[in-house]
Amino acid sequence: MSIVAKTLGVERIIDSHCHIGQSPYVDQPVETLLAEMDEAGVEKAIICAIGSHLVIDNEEGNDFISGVVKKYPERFLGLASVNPWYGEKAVRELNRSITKLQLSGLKLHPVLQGFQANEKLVFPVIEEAIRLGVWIYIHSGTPECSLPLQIVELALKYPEGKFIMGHMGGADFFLDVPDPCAKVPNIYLETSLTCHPVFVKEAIEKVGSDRVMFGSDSPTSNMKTELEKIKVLNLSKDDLNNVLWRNVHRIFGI
Amino acid sequence: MIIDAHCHLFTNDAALGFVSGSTFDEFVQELDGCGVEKFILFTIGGLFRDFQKSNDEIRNMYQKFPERIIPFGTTNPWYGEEALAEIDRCVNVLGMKGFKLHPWMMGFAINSVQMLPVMERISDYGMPVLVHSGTVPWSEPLQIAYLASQFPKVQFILAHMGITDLWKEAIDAARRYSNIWLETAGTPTVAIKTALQEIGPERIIFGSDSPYGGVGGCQFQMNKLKYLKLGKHAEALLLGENLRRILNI
Repeated sequence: MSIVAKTLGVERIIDSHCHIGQSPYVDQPVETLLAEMDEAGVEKAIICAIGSHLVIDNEEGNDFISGVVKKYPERFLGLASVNPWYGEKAVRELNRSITKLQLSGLKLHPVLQGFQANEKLVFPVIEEAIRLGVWIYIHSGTPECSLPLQIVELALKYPEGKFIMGHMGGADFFLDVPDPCAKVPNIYLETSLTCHPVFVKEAIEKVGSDRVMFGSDSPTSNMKTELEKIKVLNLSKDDLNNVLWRNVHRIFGI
Repeated sequence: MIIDAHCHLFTNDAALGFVSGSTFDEFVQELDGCGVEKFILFTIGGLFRDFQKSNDEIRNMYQKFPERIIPFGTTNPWYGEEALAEIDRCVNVLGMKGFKLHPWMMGFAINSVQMLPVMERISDYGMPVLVHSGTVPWSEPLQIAYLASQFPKVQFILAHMGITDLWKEAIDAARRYSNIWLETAGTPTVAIKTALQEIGPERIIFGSDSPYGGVGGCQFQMNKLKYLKLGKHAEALLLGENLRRILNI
């Protein structure tokens, strides 16, 4: 158990949302992420691609993420990135990522990949994820392509799908998250980039601590900063364990 | 001296159902814990209705805590002459030191013609304005910057510096116009880091948006800066010195 986890009174800390790679604004090699995890007391993390790996060069990105996961199997699980605009090719790449590359789920970023979260374009990819039985992480909080209620609509259309609403509405859409998601059991919420602690608290109160997962979005945000956001909520020990590791441990087996 | 550029007065009638914050006493206690000596205070409820009454409420709090509070007024451009008269009253009667505008909550576009007389009057008084930024379609950094370009005597503080989605254009806005300042409440780490690299620490300002964040909200906003390891010089600028230059205090 890390000292930080001990201080927080939890058994361990798992970060459900981190990135490695390069984009025009950030450059995060795996070593940087590992150092940040060690400093923040984070035992394991789920990683996904950024930049061109996320948007256009999906095969290259998935090979890269898979390579890192295989190199550090004790620290990471990885999500596959496929851009739904590639159609059949995207479906095949998702299948390859899960069955051949041992990646553990799908990451979609409607704004960067250029589609609306609940539009027809994405259905074949969602259906493939459902066939493969994997979780689907979708960025949320950015108009007009990645809004919480669009993801709720998608989750209602696919009740057999397993969805994670990344950033749970981000800065501006906190009104659209707690109540609507409380009624939709196949959506989990990820806490990074919510700009105030109270948004997380309200979500936990409405949705329950068993569907809210800590994430840092490193390197966009900072792991310790995001941990502080959870810490200041003064959650019960049980809730804190749920949010900081138990939920992501349960659904990903990480 | 640590100054928080962004605090709201939550009153009983003020949109509290919108999101739960903490009470005034609770959040002042929290600011104390964070070492905040002074804070800019403006309304929340007055952004939706009764802006004159809300300005009186800010004045009352200012009278109670004159050493702590830097009072900012608000005015609603939809009210035309009445909005201008309220600017006069804020400055001449209530002792306000600047103005807060929240285009999407107040229901106007920051770069609409309605704003021109309002800005002319604020410019006449040489007062700074703190404008919510980062929310489409009416509170985008470059829209605010366009207005700022027309009123070079007014210092424009971009509250939230574009938040999660528009921080890149907030940095562009600050680079282009020297009367644009960036305030950090709710902004991701990468935005502040990039701003420090691209425009330097002289126009970045700490704000917490308290008590919006609830208990621990100010601490969370401050830790964000702490983990950036700013160094003494930049830290002093962000946590108060920059704002002192704007306010002449």
